This record gives sequence, structure tokens and C-alpha cells, in this order.
Amino acid sequence: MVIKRIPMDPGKRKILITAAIQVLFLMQAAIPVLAISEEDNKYIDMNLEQLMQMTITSVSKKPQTIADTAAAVFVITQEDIRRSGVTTIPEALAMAPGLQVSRISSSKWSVASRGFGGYTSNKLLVMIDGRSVYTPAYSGTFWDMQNTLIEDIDRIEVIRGPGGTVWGANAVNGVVNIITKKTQDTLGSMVRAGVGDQEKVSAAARHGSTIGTSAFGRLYVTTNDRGSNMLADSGQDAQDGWQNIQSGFRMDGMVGAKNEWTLQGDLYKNKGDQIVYPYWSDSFPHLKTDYSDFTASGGNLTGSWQRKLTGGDLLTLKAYYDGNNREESYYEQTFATVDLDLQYETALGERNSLTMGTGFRHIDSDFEDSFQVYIPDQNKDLYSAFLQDEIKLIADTLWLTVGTKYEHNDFTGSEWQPSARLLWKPAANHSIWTAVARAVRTPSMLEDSGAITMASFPVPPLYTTTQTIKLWGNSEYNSETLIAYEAGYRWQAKRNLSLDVAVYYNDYDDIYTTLSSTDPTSFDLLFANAKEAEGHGVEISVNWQARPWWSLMFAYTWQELSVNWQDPSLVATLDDQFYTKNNPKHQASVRSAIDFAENWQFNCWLRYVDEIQGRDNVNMTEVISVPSYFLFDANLIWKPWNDLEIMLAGQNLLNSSQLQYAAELITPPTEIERSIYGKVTWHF
Amino acid sequence: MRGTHNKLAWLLMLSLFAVFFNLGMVRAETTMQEYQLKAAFLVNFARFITWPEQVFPPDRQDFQLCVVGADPFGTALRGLETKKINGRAIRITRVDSLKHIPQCHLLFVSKSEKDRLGQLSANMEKRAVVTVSDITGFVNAGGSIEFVTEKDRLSFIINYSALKQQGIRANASMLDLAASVR
Repeated sequence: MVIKRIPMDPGKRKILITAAIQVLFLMQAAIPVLAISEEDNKYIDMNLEQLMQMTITSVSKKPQTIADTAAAVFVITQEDIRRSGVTTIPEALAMAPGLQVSRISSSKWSVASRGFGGYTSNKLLVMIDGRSVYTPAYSGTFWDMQNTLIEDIDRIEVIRGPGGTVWGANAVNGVVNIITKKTQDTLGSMVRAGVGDQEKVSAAARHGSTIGTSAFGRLYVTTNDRGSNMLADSGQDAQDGWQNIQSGFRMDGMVGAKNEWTLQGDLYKNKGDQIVYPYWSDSFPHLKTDYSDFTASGGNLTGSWQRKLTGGDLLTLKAYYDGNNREESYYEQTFATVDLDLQYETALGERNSLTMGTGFRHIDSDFEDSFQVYIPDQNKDLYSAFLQDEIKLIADTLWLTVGTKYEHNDFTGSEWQPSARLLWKPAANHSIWTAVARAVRTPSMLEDSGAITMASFPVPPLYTTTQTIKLWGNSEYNSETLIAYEAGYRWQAKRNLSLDVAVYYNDYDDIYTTLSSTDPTSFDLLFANAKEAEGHGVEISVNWQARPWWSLMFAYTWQELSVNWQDPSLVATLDDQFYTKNNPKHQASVRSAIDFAENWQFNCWLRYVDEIQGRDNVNMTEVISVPSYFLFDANLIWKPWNDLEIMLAGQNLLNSSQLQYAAELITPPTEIERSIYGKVTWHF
Repeated sequence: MRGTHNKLAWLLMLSLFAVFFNLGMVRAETTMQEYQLKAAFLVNFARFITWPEQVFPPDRQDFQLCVVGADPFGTALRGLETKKINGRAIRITRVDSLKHIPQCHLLFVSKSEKDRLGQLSANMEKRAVVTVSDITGFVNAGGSIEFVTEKDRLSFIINYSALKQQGIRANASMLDLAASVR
């Protein structure tokens, strides 16, 4: 192997130096705390009001409510994350059945639920503490911009299937709720430092304490420097190194016994190298490979207030601001979003429990255009209201939940997203559920009014003029719709063995595609809702505590998706094949967590992903095949004493590098390299 | 070398499955944190409660905290003896059974005593001892304070009428915070 030494550019250096200073600053602030012995009870000096806000956390406990949900829900706990050795949120998501997670490059992922993957995977809604991180520009999530301190995550709730009734538009194939810990659970200080070959440097620090007599707070900073991978075709460096730094705070408190509030915010900056291919230009050489970088930065502030009213009613008010900027060599976007939500839960008689809510969102966007991408600046407003009723048909046995969301958006006007869910518990340890729901994906700004360059070439005979083919947005473009039929079964067979099975049939209409322009002299294309699709699948997960010191988690997903013209007289295109073959038919995962000695843990994770196909981004009739593959991760954790943890982790240990995906945009096929890293985490 | 790696991967998966259908027992998970919290609650209870003067005779001015049965606190009580309850130093005593309780002010009853709660009222009625436990139904069995869990958070039920009979007073703000007052 040839190791290339690339001089660090000033930008990267600046990020790392800032990170180092912040970590040092936090450590300074934490030093007086060191005087307290590690074994001391940190709650002793709290008052009753504070103590009553502390949550009792038990190891690997899943929230009780899961068994009582009429939906395909999977929860990834902090313990799952800690023992898996993952360093990013999308890697953690790969634990959930029904999700397709593939790493495109160091900083890019395709994360999809029940199909329709891609760098611009657009049917999965992602939220962090109730703040949507779904980008309205092209519908999707920039995973490189979501770098919440991994230790702060309490759990990730993955809901497969439509969540439109409660969560609103774009929760078509699933919702990912990333929920961070309450500050009551992060008292004291934590410092982590790690080094590795791919995970070159990582560092994080956190400090939490009580604030006054009835509130808690924490501050954190986290930074990573990740190395580049390898191009699948040439074996050359993929130039996808990635550095990020994020810091933030959270405060939780009570006012009296009835009011709870939370205030939290983050600031981040993130920079990575990337290869943009194809990169079209209006002059020779019209098609080139652009070796450039991206920077993404932003900040957000969220406040929420919850009041318990008489009779158990609950009123929640939540507001957030999110501002971010992303600059790449082919475009730049700046977003400012303000969101307000009000929710009210109340019981109506003995049988009905109602949840209702209303929301408003304003999005202010600003784009810098280029030859490659054009999106006009725009402001968008979104109004919504929802009502859901959980009806006890038979006490402790049968529940029916019906509801709908009404949403008004500036692209398509009114959208309704109703659902009906039935839960039957014939015995305490058996749950059977079924659901039917409608969900929509509203158009992205690009699909509505933007344009992207698909090709550019000189025109014969003189080759002095340039012909450009563009894909244009379409103001007539409608929402994609889904009607989903689902069913599931959960069985707590024994205290140490549980099974969860979900099946679904998805019926999609008005799915996005591209059509030729009506102007016969033009080669241009237009976004259009001309496809329909059908998807079905089975998702199974099993948790088994084999021995007191050994737990096993198994997940299996089988799925098929077919995309066709809505007009049956039209001939199938490569697009259809792309969506159909872009999803692995079989996926399996086994995780094992062993406590093999008092202070030692050994964890491993084996994943199998069936073959998929992508397509060549220049010659669009060319298929790129990604053969089936295995990923094997393993790690060893040693706790020489209670508050110190040392981890040695390896990811993708079976192969020196592995192609996981062929992206539909920007990134040439990249093999993700094997990664070995070590880290030390100290709580004090 | 791809082929060999795949073989290795299949072997790994098979071996993990092989052990999969073979049953075991689950370990009861009691976390350290839960009892650290409960220990802190005890200190707070002591500060909110006023005992009759005669339970602090001149030769025994210290505050007596007793734990009866199998001690669930582990190291959670460590450092407690450096704290003061209304100017009194805390002494911790561990007691084997509810039958022979020495002079205590605050008595924590471990879950190990669940089946022997009948002895409780007989031994405590006439003494100014505040009994605390996380045994379900503890207040109904004549105990003074019972820990309860609401939405993963600790709260407590307080047996105000029994305390009054023992000549013990509880501060109003403690009664306000209680999940229920009997």
C-alpha cells in the first residue's frame, strides 16, 4: 500500500486547532470537580425537587410503550450504540431492520426505509429532539451535518412505514427520531479521545451540572477528523476526507411540580473533500472531474415547555430556529427555518384519549447558482393541524387509533394524511397490530422550480457552440403519495427472548420521474409525477439474552420494490430498473455483546447486504453493479476502573475495502476502507 | 481473496446462529444509580422531618440512619457520614431483621424484608421512627414513606396520619411534592 502524505490545508488546521482549544477550555472548567472521589454519590447534595426529575436508567432497557404501539418501531439504545463502536448516527441506524444504510463515501450515506435509497433518499423524515433535519432543497438529509455527540444520544426511535398523521409530510417510508439524554442523566464530566487509521483523530468533552435549585445543564464539544477512502474503479485515493466540529448545550428544569422546560442548541462546522463527477461546464472540456471540497455550518436553538393540567391533560409548546449554510463547488444553499408547534393531550370519557396539535413553519432559503444547479431563492410557509384518537375498544385488549393530519404547503396546497391502526393484545406478552395509512412527499424546491445540468457538449460541425441538456423543475409537480398496509406481531416469549415481525404492502402513486420536454427542438427534461410503484417486505428482529453475560440481537429484512409508468402504454425505462434493483432484496444482521470478565466486554456485529445496482452518472444506460457483501465489526472494551473505559474497535474487518453503494449523484463509486481505532473515555 | 472472506463470514454467521437456539437466564438489572438516588432522597426526607426532642437524648445527639435486611445501597451511602442533618452528624447502622431494631430515626427497609412486613407495625407504632422502603404496599403495611416510580422517575407516598400519631411532623413542602399523602 502506498501512503500518500497530503499537506493539511489551512482550513482543516483551523478546525482542529479550534477543537483542541475548546476541549482544553472544557477540561479547565472541569478540573475542580476532580477533587470529588470517583465513588461518591453525585446526587447527595441535590434537593427533593431536583431528585424527582432524575430518570432511573437501567441497562439495555427498551421503553415499555413499544409493545403497545401499532406500528413497526425499533429502538436503538445508547447501550446499543456504545457497544457497537459506531462513530456516526447513520452507522447506528444500520442496526434497525427495514432500513437500508450504505456508506457512499467518508461523509455521505444513503439511508432509506423500505426502499428508494440514494444520496438524495427522500422518503424518510429525520428529527433530532423534535427538530426536522430534512432539507427542503432536494428532500433528504445531509448526514454529514448531524454530528450530535454520540454519547448524548439516549435512543433512536426508528419507525418504518408512514408517520404522516403525527409527523407530517415526508414521513412517507419512515421516521427517525434521535432523542438526546435529559441533562439530569449527564451530570459530571466526560472526556474522550481516540486515534485510528480512518477515524484519524476524535475528541469530545462534556460537562453537566445542576443550575440553581430546580434545573440542570450540560455543555459539549465533539470533533472528528476522518480519512479518505479508495475509488472502486482505479484504486486511487477517493479524496473524501472529512472534518467536523460541533458544540452545544442543553438545559432542563421544572417550575413547580407541573411545568417542565427544555432549552437546547448546537453550533457546528464541517468540511470535507469530495470528487464531483460528472461536473459539466459550458466550455472545453465540457465534462470533467472536479476535485473540490464542501463546507457546511449552522446552528439551532430549540425551546419546549410542557404543562400538566388537571385530569392528566398535557400541553406542550415547542419552538425552534435552525440556520445553516452549505457550500459546494456546484452550488450553495442557506436556510433559516422557524418552527412552532403546540400539542394537547386529553382524555375524553373512559375510552378515548385524544392528541391534537397545530404547527407553523417558515423557511427562508437563499441559493448561489452555478452552471450545474439553479434554484431560485424562496420563502415557504407551512401550516398544519392534526387530531388523533386512541379508543379502548376492549379494556387492556383491543385499541383503535384513528387520526389525520391536515397540512397546507406553498407547493401543492392542502394535503391530508389519515391513518387507522388496530392493536390487539390477546395476552400480556403477545401484540398483534395492523394499520393502513396515507402519506405524502411534498415537492422539493429543486423539483418545483430548479434546474440541474444533465449534460453539456459541443455541437457539430464547427464545435464552437455548446448544447446543454437540463432537467427542469415543474411548478405543476405534485406530491408523491403512498397508501401503506401494514401488520405486525410482537412476542415476549420469555423474559430474555423477544420477537418482532412486521410485514407491509406499499402502493405508491405520482412517483417522481423525468419526461422529455414538449419542445421538439430541445433535449431538455422535466420533473414529472408519471410513475407508480409497489413495494412489499418482511422485517424480523429477535433479541435474546442467551446468558446473563451474553446478549444477541438478530435482524432480517426481505423486500421488493417495482416501479412502472402510470400510463401502461409506455415502455419500461432504466429508471424503473434503477429503483427496483437499487434495494437489497435480503439484509441480515447479527450483533453479539459479551461481558466475558468483570471489566471486559467483547462485541461484534456481522451484516449481510444483498447485491444492488446503481447506474453510471454520465452514460445513464450503463449499470454499476454492487455485489452482495458482508461487513464485520468487532471491538473490545476494558474498564480498568469504574470511570475509565478503553475501546479498541475495528470496522469492516473482513475486507481491506468494500463498495457499499453507487450513488446517483456527485460521488464516483467509492470503496469504504477497513477502519481500526482506539479510544479512551473518562467520566469524572 | 473475496471468496474466502465470504466463506469466513458465512461461518461466523452460522456459528452465531448455532448458539442462538439454546436458552439461558437473564440477570436481574438493578442499577447503582437507582440506589444513589434513593440515598439522596433519604437525606432530604431527614431534613424535611421534625422528630420529637426526646429521641435525641444528651448522650445520643447523632442522627441514626438504619438499613434493615440485605443492603441494596452498595457504595451509594459512602460519604453520607460527612453530611449533617440540622446540625447533627449521620451515623449509619445496618440491621439484620425487623425484630431487633436499635434506636433509629430513619429506617430503610430493604426489599429482602418483603415477607416480614407484619412485624413492622408491632415494632414501630410506639416509637418515633420514620420507616422508608421501596416495597410495593409498604405504606399500607404501616410504613411511613414508600418509594414509587412514575414515568421512570422516583416519587414517594407519605403516610401522614401514621407519622402524626408517632409525634413526627413533616414539612408542608415535602407533602406538596409527594405523589400522594395518606
